Amino acid sequence: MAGVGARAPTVGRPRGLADPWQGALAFSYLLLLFLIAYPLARLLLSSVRAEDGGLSLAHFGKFFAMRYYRAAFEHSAYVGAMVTLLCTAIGVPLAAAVARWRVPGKALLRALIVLPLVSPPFIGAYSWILLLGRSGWITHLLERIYVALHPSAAAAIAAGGHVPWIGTIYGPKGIILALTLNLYPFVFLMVSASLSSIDPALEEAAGNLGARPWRVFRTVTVPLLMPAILGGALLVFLHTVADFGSAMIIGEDYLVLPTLIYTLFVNEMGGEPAMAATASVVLLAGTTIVLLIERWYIARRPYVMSAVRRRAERPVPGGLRALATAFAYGVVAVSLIPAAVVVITSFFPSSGPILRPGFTTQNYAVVFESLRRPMFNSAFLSFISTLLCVVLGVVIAYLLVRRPGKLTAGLDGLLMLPFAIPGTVLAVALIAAFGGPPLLLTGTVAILVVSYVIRRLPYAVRGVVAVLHHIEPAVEEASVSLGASPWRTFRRVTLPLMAPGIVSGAVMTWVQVISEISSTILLYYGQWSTMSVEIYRKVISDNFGGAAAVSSVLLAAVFVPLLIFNAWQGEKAADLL
Amino acid sequence: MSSAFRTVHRFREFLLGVGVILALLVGWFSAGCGPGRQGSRELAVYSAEKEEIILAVSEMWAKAEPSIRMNNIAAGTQEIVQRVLSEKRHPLGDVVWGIGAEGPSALPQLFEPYETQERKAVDARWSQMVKGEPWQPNNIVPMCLIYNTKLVEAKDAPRSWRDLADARWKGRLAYAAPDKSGSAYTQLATMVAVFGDNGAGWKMIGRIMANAKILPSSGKVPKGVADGEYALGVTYENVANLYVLGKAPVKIVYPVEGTAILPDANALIRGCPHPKEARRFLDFVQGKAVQEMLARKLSLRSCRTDVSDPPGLPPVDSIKAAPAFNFRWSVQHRKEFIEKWQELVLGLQQ
Repeated sequence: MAGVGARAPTVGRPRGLADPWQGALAFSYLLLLFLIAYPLARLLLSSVRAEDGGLSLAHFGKFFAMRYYRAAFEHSAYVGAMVTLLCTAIGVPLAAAVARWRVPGKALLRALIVLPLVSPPFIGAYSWILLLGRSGWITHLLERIYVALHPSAAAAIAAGGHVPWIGTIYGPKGIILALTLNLYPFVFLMVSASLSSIDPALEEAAGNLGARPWRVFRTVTVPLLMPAILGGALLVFLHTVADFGSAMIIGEDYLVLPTLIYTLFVNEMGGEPAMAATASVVLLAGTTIVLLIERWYIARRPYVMSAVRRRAERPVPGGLRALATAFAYGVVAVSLIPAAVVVITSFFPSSGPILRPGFTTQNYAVVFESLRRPMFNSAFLSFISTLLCVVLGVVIAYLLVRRPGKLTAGLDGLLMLPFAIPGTVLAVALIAAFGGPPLLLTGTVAILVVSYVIRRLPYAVRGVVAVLHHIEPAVEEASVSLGASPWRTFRRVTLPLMAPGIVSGAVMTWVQVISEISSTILLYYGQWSTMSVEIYRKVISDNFGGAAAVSSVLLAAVFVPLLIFNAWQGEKAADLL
Repeated sequence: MSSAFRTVHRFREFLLGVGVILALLVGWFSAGCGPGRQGSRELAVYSAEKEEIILAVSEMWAKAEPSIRMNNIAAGTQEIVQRVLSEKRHPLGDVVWGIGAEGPSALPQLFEPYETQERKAVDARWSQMVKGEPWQPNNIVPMCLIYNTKLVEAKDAPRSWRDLADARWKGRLAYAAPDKSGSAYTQLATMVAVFGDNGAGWKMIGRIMANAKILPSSGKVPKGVADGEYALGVTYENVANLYVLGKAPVKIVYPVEGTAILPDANALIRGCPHPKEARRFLDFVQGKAVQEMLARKLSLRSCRTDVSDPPGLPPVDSIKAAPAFNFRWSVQHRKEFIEKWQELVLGLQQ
């Protein structure tokens, strides 16, 4: 493969001069150690502390000895693996179809695909219960069909029996369904950014050498996409095993690690912080192992190439195009069902907690009055946090790819730590660490920004890393040898080439920040309530009409800017997203 | 390289666009806010009350104390207690208002005892209960059962705790986990009081748990029953009544053996930043004006002798209290009862 080199890609280091990236590495380390390692260490140390204050592994012994705890671990591993497989199986073909073939309405489609990532707290999973629960709309429909076919079963169904076709949505099935349709956009975003940065010359060369399109895809394109596919799969896996909301709502009594940690920790009457810390360490160890496997796999094959040329869409036979179009719109339609249910129910008249079919705008009239400040807060906080994530993410991603080594691997591990901790528990760690000396952040807006940045930074980093793997160091070396300084080279050569990854990382970060609830609920203060806090307040106040209305506003606030952005970028130039 | 240059230009345009949008946002926002009131006093209230209750009381507070701005942090009792607990190095909240009483009773070190100006008007039944406790009574909440009238005919409806053990409710009874929810713990302690803390009593509780779906939070019980996800559930009166008032197909049942009737709690946070304003607020919410408004408009039972029962609810004296149930006893035995319950449920799963 042209330009795929095995030499250590250390660009921009003029011989005999100090490498400016050393400073960036030191800075990133200090920052992450202080903001991530310090609060988490304070919290997690209690897992190895015995009652008498000494060190002990007794908590871990108890964790693996008791079936109650072990089951949560096994459930998390199962759900994580299933969701990751399904998201990859949906996201990769979808990205290929949308990026490569002329699927009509691309700008709209790309904006719609991102939308499931905005799962307004508690609302998305409720929608599935509304449709497929024991009294769901679809369940009732199926029951009627089933009884029509098997009249003898009527009595059993009426007494609360299940239609054998679907069983129950509660438990692992529901969690996997909700999370798969919520998270596949991660794989889509990363793979499509990567697809648009593949040098078309490689595929063309393979074609010219006589390989058929399928063979080219299999032996050239897919290997080139591996960093993006694995990066997306990793995000999905980490997100799934750390997911708390869906498991809480449709898990019923199916306990996974985050719900276990949450209930051990957050409790009206105290809780069991030591066992909660132990369960967190187990989750952390599991995710670190997966992260290491991914790094090891990618490190074995460097996938660089000189991708300064962008590819054009290729005309494809009409039949294939129709198939791709049907697939893309089909996936999007199914994954948008929860959002659609939310928007539809937001127009239902409500009396107290009860919604009845009909049409009214009363839910909106009530919410708009009080939403001005939360809307500003959400927009402001997500903008600042995304900006910080992107700047830090670009620097860290560059270090990870261009300066591979033990030190940077440590940075990667550090970065992923907050992923393995439920947001609420992370918030508790932050309050404990920054609720007094050495640095007082609680009661200020800074603590919200810190929590968003450390929790969402991995998205920005993964987004950029996937694309950076495609950029051959030789391009940067050429710039340096022509006399440009490393900084100028980075700014004028590397940064523009990374743009697709930066934008996909920024979108993932932004969408995840704007709908964050689990740490916000413990950290927000004074006037700094956000849209997601408003939704949560309405949910716990049993005001489901109001919650649906605010959720719809939030969905629109994400969808409209994305649509405008995609349309403005134009159909052909969609390679930025 | 031409496409790379196009990209960089597009990228700059993009950043410019984002900047313009942000500027517009800031402009729109600042147009809507007056200048900050310098030097005005503040109060941070952590509350698990429903939004409409908070709104109604905020309005009254703004009229009564216009110079003290009230900042509300609303969340579930779990999050509220967790917040107070994690902020203990540097408390940011002043009072908790309308949270489950189990929290402040279990964590007295976080709260500072306070006797309100209104304590004389509080019914002796409740002021006796809170003697020595770091919290004050707010509204009165009986534990109850709720059933879905579409799924259960009135003649089949449960009447007692014992009825919950009937095998026909298998998988159809909703109950919140008592190791997570304070109200669910009180319901468990009520069952222990009713059936006895002995082999036979726990066997009966085991039969009930074999029917139950254990939900992670108490709010999911009445919603699940109203939505028809469960036929019946164990819950508490004020949230169940919201569904009755909303004309959901549900009915409330007060078990014939008797039930726990408890106040929810207000309390002063130890080391809070605005203690003077906080005490004023605690007097205010227990005062006659607020309690009467809550009873009349929002159907909440008052802890005061001079406020009558809300319209539509049976008088509190007509609801039988479980004779063996005692709040302090239930708090003292919490760890023990929860462990017994966990063993019971684990045994059922295996």
